[in-house]
Amino acid sequence: MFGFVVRRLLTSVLVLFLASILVYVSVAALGDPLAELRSNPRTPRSVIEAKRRELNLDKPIPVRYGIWLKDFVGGDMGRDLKGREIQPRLVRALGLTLRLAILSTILAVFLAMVVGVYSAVRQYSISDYAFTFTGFLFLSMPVFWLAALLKEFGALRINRLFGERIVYTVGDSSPNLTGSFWHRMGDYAGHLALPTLALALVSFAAWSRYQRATMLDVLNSDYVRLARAKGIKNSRVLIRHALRNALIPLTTVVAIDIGAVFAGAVITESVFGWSAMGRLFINGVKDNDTNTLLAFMMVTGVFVILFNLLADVLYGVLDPRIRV
Amino acid sequence: MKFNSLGTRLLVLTFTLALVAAACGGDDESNNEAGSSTTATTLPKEEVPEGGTVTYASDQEPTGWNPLTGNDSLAALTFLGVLVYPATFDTSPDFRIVMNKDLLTSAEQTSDDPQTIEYKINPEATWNDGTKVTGKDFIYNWKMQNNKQDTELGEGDPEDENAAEGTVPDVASTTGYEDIESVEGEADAVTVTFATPYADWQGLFGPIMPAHVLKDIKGWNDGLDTTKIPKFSAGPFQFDKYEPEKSVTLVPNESFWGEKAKVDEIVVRFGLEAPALPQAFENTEIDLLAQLKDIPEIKSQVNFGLSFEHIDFNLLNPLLADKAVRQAIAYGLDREALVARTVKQFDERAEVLNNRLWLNNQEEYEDHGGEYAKADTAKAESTLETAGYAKGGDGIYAKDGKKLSFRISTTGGNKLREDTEAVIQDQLKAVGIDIKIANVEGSDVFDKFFPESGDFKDADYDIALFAWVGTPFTASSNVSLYVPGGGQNETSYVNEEVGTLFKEAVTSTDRAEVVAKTNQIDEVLWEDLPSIPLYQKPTLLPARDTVLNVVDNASTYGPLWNAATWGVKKQ
Repeated sequence: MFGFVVRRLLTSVLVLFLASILVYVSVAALGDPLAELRSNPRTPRSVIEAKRRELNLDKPIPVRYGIWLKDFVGGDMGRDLKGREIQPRLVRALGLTLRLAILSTILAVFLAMVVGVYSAVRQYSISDYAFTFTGFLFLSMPVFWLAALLKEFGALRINRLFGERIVYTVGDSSPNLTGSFWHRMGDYAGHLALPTLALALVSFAAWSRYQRATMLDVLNSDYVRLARAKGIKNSRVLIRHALRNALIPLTTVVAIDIGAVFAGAVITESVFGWSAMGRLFINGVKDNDTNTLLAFMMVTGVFVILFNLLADVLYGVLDPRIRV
Repeated sequence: MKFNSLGTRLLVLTFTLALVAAACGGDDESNNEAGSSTTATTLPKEEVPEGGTVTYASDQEPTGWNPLTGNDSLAALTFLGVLVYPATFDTSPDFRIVMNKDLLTSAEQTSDDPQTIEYKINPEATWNDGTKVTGKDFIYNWKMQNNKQDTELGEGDPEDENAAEGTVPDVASTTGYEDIESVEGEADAVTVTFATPYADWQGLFGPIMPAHVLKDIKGWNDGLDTTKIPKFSAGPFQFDKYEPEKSVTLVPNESFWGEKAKVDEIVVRFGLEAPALPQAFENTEIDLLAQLKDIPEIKSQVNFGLSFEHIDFNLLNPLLADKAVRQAIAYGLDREALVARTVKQFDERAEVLNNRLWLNNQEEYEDHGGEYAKADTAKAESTLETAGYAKGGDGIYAKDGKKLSFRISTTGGNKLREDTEAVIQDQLKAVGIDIKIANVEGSDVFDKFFPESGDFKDADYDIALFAWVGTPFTASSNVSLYVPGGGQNETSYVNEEVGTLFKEAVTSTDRAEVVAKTNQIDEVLWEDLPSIPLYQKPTLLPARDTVLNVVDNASTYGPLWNAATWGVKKQ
């Protein structure tokens, strides 16, 4: 197992390195980052030239990549086209994305487990059909639509009911937030509620279907029949024998999906006005900003690789047959 | 009933989102029901209540805090800067240039030759650290923007391509400042003498940055990056807290000597995109938006700003170089019908624009293109036939085997512009001119009009459709559009008469003469037709009616310009 992990990590470093070259070259070839400055006829030539030199745009792309790589290895992610340091922006964005991703994943996994198991145990019952319908509804509903519904019913109407603003529709917290610990916690929670729910419902929809299918598989297997035949209590059969095994595939799916979540949920962040990883990426693309995009890619790349590796390792740990 | 109202709301939201997704880069409008506009809730000064917070959603975050640098000269900062940094002259909502009486007691041109301006600074004018606003500030601002080396401020030679890093001042524009011979007077009387006369001198020294804070080139270039939000102010507000990517808060400048602001704070929020705004507005999380896009659920003030839509011809295209073809296009277009089918949906007051230098609601406006306002197909056809063109079997005119078939290009995804193209295509088909739509998504289309090489021979378009954003300083801001060598003369238009008239207008010190010359230029442009103006664009300002005295300033000043007079109505 140790050798496997080391091999995978080494390959990942190579993959990241190659990906960084690809991203750098393709973004650098996309267009002139100084186009906006050039389009203002009042900007003197000397200013444009100074900026070109400052951003190393007067050097060939391989040299620029080399400079970037040297800085990156030295722990410096550089500055964006407007001269702002990228590292603090990335750290802030990642912090927000983590907050959103972790909470929504916990919620989604919990809901998916409960609903998946219940649906499998009560297969073809009215409640199974109801959960199936709900699952497909969330799966097929565009996130921005779901967000609009959540804002209408989960924020505006609730706030009207209480006569004060408890749930917020935009941002991760109120500007200039001060006050007691509980006041601040309340504000964070009021801002977190809707985007967490929106993300969780979408993931839950897919995962609960998955959980239901694997649970059904397990429930129909010989060893569960054997356990029942031995007269073991139903709840013990369900939890100790069936659920534990049915969780293995879900664990790996969640681990793989989570890696992608760290790249940011672009639409959810945009609809709820969160300046997290998705926004960082969009702005990088809009501005044709190599440094921002590379920083984004390296960090999300690392997360995706780590969680994929974790999925593989977990699979091995949870299912002894894999190790044989 | 409730379901219906939600359904409608969601439909509208989807529509808004679709438009926003399509906009990306180009400025954008959506259809709006006529009549959803509103007027400002205004109250006299003494009746405006004290206190309250106004939350304003800006569509961009400032990239730094010096609005005079090329790096930071975005509308996002300009809009806030008018409350903090003083300017010698302000632009009123009706585009008049008004002396800032808080900063100056007088500003007069005392001599024509050499052009000399004397400013008298209001003795009360002080930065909020107690330092007086003086001629030293004028001298510093001039030296930073005059495109000449001022070694005492640490500047390198702007002509030297290898000037050391950080020694070239980052400036958005040197226009006007480079024409100044000297700025004298370090106290409250400042004399500015021009080497070359400059008609739009009232556009200079606004905003003014404090010399005693920024000191030299380092302070100018790097002294006000995003991490160093300025606390200085000589306006009614000053910057207070800044949370990157989230908000900046402005609070009243307690030491301001003019009209004191009534609200407690203005919170400017960033990063909120159009789909998030209607419900945030309804949930009272925001009160006011800087939104180029219309949000149908929020009542908006509609004004007509300084930008206008137009079509430009690439005169390097051999067929479009033929004036008869351009005339036929102008006769073939029914611009009144075009306005009715597009921009009139926003506001009934929209009308055809018949001047390229002055807009419909400016008092200097003269109608020079009335001849072409409505379609005259017969005249279009006879113009082409006289010039030797003949209609082919497909109904399209041709000469020497070359068909009158042109591409029209604009910012793809902009619904209003795409509608405009479709109308133009239909109208010109009736004349016998084939128009093919060749859009490029978003603002990337500008690379086709303004090639990276800077040589318009590399421009890749036939007819361009986009908007020019004007300033009240018409002469100096339009030179580069119509004179060879001007960075924005993408039609490759050459007419010596226009060049001479511009030179006279820009250097004239007589306002009436400037107006006359610029109108004369437009007449020549109607004669030559390198472009055809279509209509003045409406601006929208969605605002909560509990915020009193909000009046949009559709010039470059934006919605916050009079925030010192705002109040928040108690619920």
